[in-house]
Amino acid sequence: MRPKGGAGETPGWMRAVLRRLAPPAEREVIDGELLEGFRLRGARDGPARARRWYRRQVFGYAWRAVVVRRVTERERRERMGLDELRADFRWALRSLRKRPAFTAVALATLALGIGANSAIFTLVDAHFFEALPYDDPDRIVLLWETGRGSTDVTTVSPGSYWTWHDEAESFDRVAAYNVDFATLSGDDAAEQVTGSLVVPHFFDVLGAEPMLGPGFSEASVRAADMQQVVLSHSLWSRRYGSDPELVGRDIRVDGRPYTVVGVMPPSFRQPERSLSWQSTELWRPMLLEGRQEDHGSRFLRTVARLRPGTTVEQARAEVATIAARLAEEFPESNGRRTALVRTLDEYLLADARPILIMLLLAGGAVLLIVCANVANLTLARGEERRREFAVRGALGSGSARLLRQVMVESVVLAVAGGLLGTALVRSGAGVLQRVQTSFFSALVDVSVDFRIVAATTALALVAGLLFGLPLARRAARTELGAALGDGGRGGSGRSDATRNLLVIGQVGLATGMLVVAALLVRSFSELVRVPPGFEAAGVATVTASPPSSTWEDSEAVLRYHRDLLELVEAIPGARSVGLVSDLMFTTENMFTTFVVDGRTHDPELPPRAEYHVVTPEYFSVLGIPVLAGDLPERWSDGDEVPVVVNRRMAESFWPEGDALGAGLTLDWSDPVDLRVVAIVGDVLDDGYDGVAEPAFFLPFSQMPRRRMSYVVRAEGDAGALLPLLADAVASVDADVPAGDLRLLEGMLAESVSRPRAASLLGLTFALVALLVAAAGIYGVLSYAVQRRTRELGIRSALGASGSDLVGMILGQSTRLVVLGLALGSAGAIVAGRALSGLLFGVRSWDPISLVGAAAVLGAVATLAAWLPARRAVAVDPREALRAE
Amino acid sequence: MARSSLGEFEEQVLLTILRLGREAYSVSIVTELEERTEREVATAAVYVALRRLEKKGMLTSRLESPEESGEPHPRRYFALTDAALDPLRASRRARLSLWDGLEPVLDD
Repeated sequence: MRPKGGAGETPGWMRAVLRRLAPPAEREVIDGELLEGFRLRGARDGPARARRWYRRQVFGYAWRAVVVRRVTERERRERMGLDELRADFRWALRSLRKRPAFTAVALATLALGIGANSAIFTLVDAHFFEALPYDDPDRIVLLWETGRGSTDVTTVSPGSYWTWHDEAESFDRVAAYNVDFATLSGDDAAEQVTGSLVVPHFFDVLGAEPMLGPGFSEASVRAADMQQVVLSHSLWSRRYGSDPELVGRDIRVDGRPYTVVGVMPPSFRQPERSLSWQSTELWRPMLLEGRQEDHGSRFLRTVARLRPGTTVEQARAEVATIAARLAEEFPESNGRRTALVRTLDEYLLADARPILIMLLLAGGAVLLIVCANVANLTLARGEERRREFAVRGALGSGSARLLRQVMVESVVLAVAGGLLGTALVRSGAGVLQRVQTSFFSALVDVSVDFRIVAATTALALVAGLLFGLPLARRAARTELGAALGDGGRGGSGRSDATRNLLVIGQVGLATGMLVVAALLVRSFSELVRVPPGFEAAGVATVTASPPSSTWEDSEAVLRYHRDLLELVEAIPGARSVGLVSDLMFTTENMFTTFVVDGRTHDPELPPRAEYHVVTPEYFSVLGIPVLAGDLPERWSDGDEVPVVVNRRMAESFWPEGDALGAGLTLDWSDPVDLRVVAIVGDVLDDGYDGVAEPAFFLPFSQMPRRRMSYVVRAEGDAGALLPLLADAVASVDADVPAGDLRLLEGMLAESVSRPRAASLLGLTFALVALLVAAAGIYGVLSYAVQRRTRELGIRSALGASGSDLVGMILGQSTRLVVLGLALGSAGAIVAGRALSGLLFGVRSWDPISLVGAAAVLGAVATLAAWLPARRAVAVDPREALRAE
Repeated sequence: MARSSLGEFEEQVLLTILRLGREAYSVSIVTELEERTEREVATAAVYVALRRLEKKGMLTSRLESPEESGEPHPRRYFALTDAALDPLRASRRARLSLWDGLEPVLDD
């Protein structure tokens, strides 16, 4: 329709303007519709008014068109941007799919690195930053006594407790407690649980409250109503089926009725170092009123809450001042003693930290290796695609667009790697929890925090981009002619150098980690090679403690254990049976001071030794050698008590070798005269890394103990004895539980769980590092082989043999690997020195570890290089020359 | 209910399209609007409103070529979507409630 003027027709120029302004897609519609309106109006209002109307519409349209067009323009651009991003994303997926080897290697290393680091960060976070499960835990401290100038802490006397409780200004309140065992009986089978005797305000000091019931009331405890008990959540749910009505009812503890006054929440833990005491299951009240003057018997643990605004240093100063005053007032008991303040954090978590720091460093090294790897791969890919980029650039893709495509690809990789890593950590969360509770502490909760995984992923991504970006950018700037002209061989000297440096770095880090892991493994094996002084294999144990309600005096206790011993000895398969008051590795050792007859001792530093109560068979069951003298009779009696001392004690106190026959006196409230009848070998009963203390052994028949452990050497399988031992205990008194039904070997293994954890974790991370570094070497070399296809073809055509070519490629990697090994070993020696606190029996520059690690790494690196090298040989010269 | 803001003119355009049914295209809308509101309506303003409402998802449109319709030029027909109904109802409720009890005062 040709626009023209005239009556009954639209003004031509107006219509031309309109058609120009209208968007092309709508041009015909708008033009036609306005024309229709014009005609309608012409028929109705006459041509002049219709023309004026038409003019007004076109002006109105022209005015709005500016706005409308701007809006549409922006929308179009936005849509295009999104489309491009979507296209980049699809392109990235496609190109990753097209190179499955590259994608698999990159993904696997990213997932491993991210997963491993998330696990470590989770552990570290739990130990360094998460609050302990108490109210305001930073204000809780533990108070200990110690000898002057000693670092060994000991338990505290009621006198000291009361002095701190009444006088120390630094604390809101001080509470005392002690550990013990309790026997539950009644409806179910008798059971022995870990318990604690506490002053009534113990839970208040920790800021913990029972989940059910009122807990101990100070008033009722002071009114001497001691038959109250608070249960742990686990005991309540395990033994009492989580019965909400249990509070207020009586249960039987140690044969007497106790009223349940509370159930603690599941998160509550006793502030103890040892795992078994952390999960204390039962609390009973203890009254220390009237013992203000007792400075001699030290059996209490004390916990205190700092007054708001008081620092730990102020508390330390005050406690030291009080200790100095007590030393003056009570020279006999406190003369050489002082007191220590430990924060919960120092006491409970500190010894796990060196291992964690080591793990953190290991994790950092793995992450570095992973980043180097991703960077290397990105770089290699950038080179590989120079031609592609050049062509795309020539076809009009801006360099920003190309850059963005490379970045989108990296993001896709990192996110996918992060997801895989998350899956890895998630599936390993149970393992992590077990690692935590068995190696470190049940006090801190380890739950995998996915923010940590996300942060690790982001870190890997950023690092990968930072490494890869400049090179990708260079690739994007590539001149078309240069890229196509060199037959796609690409690869400038500078990027080769960068890649080589990255490989050297990876190999170096992996070497360092392998050496450290080797050191830890060697240290562990040295540790368990130490002869513990006894024969743990084939020995089963059981502990029985007859309650005083039915087995009142020592006569009754003796009768009980005589009966039980008879039954245990009659068990078929039990070769020999011994009794001991404290099983190895399980409880705190008993110490006592004594006087050697005919000598005078410094009253402030009397001789001190560890002691145990045993039957003479104890030594033969455990294979502890008798070095001199004769063991006493099993049921010896008389006024003078025969005593067996260990070699350490004999040498410490009778250096002339005249221990046998020597007399000594225990300066107990009822002094005991002892005569040394035998010397036995030393035993490492605190674990492999402990030292044998001077120790002596009292005969059970004359100094009976209520709680005794039976060590039973089996004819065959010791495990088969365990149910029979339980039956024997139940048949003497059904109300006495069979505790510690274990194999001694297992207890021994547990005692080294921490060094075992360190070496296992170190080894795991070293293997991850090794894998990732191997993947890096493989990636770089296979790229190099691919890049040199033509050259290799020519060499092969010129007569180079397959082994020449393999040697050439291997030679390239060997230079890098040897450099990396050298650097890594140097680093490992430095790291080993820092780790020396964790090492046992190996030097930090242990040659076996160094050579071993280098050999393993060298072998793996050679394999990683050999695979691509073999491909180089397989190159068909004709194909290689035709390739370009 | 997601409350899409509806301008007064947009509301008038929507109601007009609802009234015109299948015959709603710019010329008929402009004509109908002018008759009902008793004032001149700029075609361009209607275009802008239609475009905006379509973007908000309250309108759909279909283009009819001259071959299909037998008209001399193509026409773009508009129809309401369900998304337009709720705002219209809400606006009606508000108006009725505002008017409630005021009819005697303003009745002429």
